[in-house]
Formats: sequence, C-alpha cells, structure tokens
Amino acid sequence: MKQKIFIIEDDPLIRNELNTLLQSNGYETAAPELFSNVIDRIKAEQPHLILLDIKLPGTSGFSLCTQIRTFSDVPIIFVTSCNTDMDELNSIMLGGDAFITKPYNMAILLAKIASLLKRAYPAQQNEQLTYGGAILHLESSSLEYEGQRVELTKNELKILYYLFRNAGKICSRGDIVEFLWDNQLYVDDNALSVNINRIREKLAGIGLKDFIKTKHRQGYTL
Amino acid sequence: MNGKLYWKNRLPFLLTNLVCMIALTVFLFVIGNSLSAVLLILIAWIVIVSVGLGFTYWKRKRQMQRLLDMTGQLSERYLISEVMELPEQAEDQVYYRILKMAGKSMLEQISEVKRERLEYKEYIEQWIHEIKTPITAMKLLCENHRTDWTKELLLELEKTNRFTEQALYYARSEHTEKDYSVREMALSNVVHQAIADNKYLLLQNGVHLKVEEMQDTVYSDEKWVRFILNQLIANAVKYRSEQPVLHFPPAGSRIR
Repeated sequence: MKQKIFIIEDDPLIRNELNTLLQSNGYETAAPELFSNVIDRIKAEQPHLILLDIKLPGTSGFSLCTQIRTFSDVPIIFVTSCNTDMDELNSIMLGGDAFITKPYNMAILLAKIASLLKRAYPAQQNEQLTYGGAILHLESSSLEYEGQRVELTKNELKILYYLFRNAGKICSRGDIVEFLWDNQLYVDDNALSVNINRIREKLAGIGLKDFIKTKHRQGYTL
Repeated sequence: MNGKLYWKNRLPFLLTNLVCMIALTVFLFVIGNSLSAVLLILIAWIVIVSVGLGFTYWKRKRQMQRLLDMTGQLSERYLISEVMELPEQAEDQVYYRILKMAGKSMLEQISEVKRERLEYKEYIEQWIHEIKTPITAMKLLCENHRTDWTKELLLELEKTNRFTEQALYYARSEHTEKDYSVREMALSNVVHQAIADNKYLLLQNGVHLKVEEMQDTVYSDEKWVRFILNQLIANAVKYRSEQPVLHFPPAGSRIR
C-alpha cells in the first residue's frame, strides 16, 4: 500500500517538483494550492506524513502544526529557508518531527521521510523488490532466486536496489555512483565495476546468469 | 604641554615687566633713591612675578597633563568633551564649547552610518533567504527531469549555494554570540551532510572519498561546523593534487 504524503508549500514550482520527486519514489501525494481549508483536507485525507513550509501566505507553518497536533500525531517535517535556531527550537517544541532547510538535499529529504515513516508505521514496510524471478530482500540484505539466497554487502544491496527500482531502464554509471553517494557509500568508478562483477559472480552462483546486462558506453540494466 | 612654547608666549609680558623695571629704576635713581632701595624693589618685583608665573605654569601644566591622560585612557576618545569638567579659564571654556559641538556632530554621523550599515546587512540577510527558494526550485527541476546537462547545472547550483552560504555566514560572523548555540550533535551526521552539499563538486573532480566510521557525538553548533566543513572541502578540491583523496578519520585526528 502506498504511503500518502501531504505537501504544504506555497511556491508552485517547488510544490510541483516535490510532487514529482515523491511520486517517482513510490509515494502518493497531495499538495493543496490554497491553504484556507488545509486542516479539513488533512482530516479528510489522513496522510501518513506532512511536509510543512514555515513561511506561508496568510498563516504560519507553526500555527498549522499546532492545530494539526490537536487531532493527530502524524509525522511532520518542517521545511524552510530560514535556519535560525529560534525556528528550529519552535518546530521541535510545537511537535514537529524534523527540520530541513532549503535548498533541500533530495537524498537527505527522502531518507528522513523514509526513516520517519518507518518509525511511525513499522508494520507497513515494503521490504522486497522483484524482477525477472529474482526477489531482492531489503531487510535481510539478500537476493533470492528459485529458492536459493545469496548475501549482499551494503554496496551491492544499494546497487541492486537502484537497478531494481529502474528495472528495464538503462542506468548510467554516473547515476549509480551518485545514488550510492546519496546513501553515504562513496564509491568511485573503479569500485563500481568491481562491485558489479562481484554481484555477477554471486548471482551466477545461485544460477542467475545475465541478470545485469552491460549496455556499451551507456551503463547497466536488468 | 610644550614648556618652551609656554614661556615664549609669556615673552611679551616678561618684556613689558622688564621695560617697566628699567623705567622705574631710572625714575627712582633720578628722584634720588639709593642703590640698595632700588635693588630691593627690583628683587621683590622679580621674586613675586617669578613665583606667580612659576605657580601658574605648574598649575597649568598639571591641568593640561590631566586632560591628556584622561583622553589617552578613553577607548572612544571623541567622548572627551562629555567626560571632562568645565574649565575655569574663559578662553578654555570657549574651546570646551567648540569641542562639545564637534563631538556631538560626529556622534550623529557615526550613529547614522551605523544605522545604514545595519539596514543594509538586514537587507542582505533577507535577500539570502529569498534566493534559497529559486535555488531549491532549480535543484528540484534538475533532479526530476534528468538530461545530459542537468549534472553540470547541479554543479553550478552547488557553487551558487556555496556563495550564498558564505555571504550569510560572513554577515552573521560579526555577532556570532546571537547565532551560536552549542548542542550535542553526531559527527557522522554533519560530515555526511557536508559531503552531500558538495556532491557534484567532488564527483566532477574525481575526488576519492575515505570516510571512516564515526560514532562520536560532540558539543558544538551544527550549522557552523557544517559551514566550515563545506569551506574546507571546497578549498581542498580547489588546491588539489593529481589524485585527490579526501580522508575523514575518526575523532582525535584532523581531516586531511
């Protein structure tokens, strides 16, 4: 079941792009354009998480947060361009769960969302991805094929995760490296090749051959 | 106070005295006074005038020295007219009034300049906050619609962001006590954040990253530490050698 994220942000371009970003990462989103009846909409739609801009026309993110907290414990992430400590203190005291300054680092934003959701809704985690008969188990960091499992290192898990998420599409080396960096795994180009080869060996070991295909000069794909 | 000049200023008075003394002497001799009587008068005159002048000089010198010392001790010397007492001499009082008028007009100038500077600084801070919105928008656009040039654009955006951060922290560095809050923070958090802030710069320049496990927490202001790390990383890349390696060892050692 997809998790719904509510975006409360007044800049239309950022709002749309956040929409796109979250949707392409597997979340359902709702992003109101007017803020007069935002509270009612939240009550009606019951999102799993709220992204709340502090600076809003006509009202303040803080007062909205206080209102939301009267009826819900939904995780709230404050986003703002100010990063004075008063703001941070206020957001914590008013019941916000996290605080991110603009410009966002996308990877960090997504990571915070994921970790807050995990904490708030531990049961609902999507722990595996499948493709071509293979199941990628995220929790146990392993790959399963026709009943056999093989263990994966952190790097290998993340590389496969990226390939699985973009299954069928060509993933350039640069994009894979960037994805790993976003997850605090700072591999370089050579290390990537080494990792890919190691994965291929492991997969061959459980009978999964030609799973990762190399597209000459373009990248890898499943 | 310049002693030589003081006495030079007294020259007309002394000369007048000398002329009068000579005239009196001649007159006394003419009307038939004895040498000893004339000498007595002259000596008495000289003694009285000398003592009087000497005392006046000593007093004046002390007064001037006191004023000079007072001024020397003030850190804001232009406030001397507020600190010193009203002088007794008539001419001194005129100078005192002039000092006061000059001081007042300068204080007004200074506070005007200070106010203008503060206003400008606040404008800059406001501007920096505003500019973060379009930077965020551009970043998001690039991330969501990747093409073959978005990486280059994201690199330039990183640079743009770095410059605005620099400006912000420069403005705030003048009164850090209002902006600094020491809290417990995880080292690894701030290091990874700083690396993420410079992701494209590091990737583009082929910097090899070695980040060790950091379990420690320290007490500091996270924003400022992150800013400093950002500066260090940017400089490290700028002045790098052929095979740049950025090494973040665990606590106790420095970033190389």
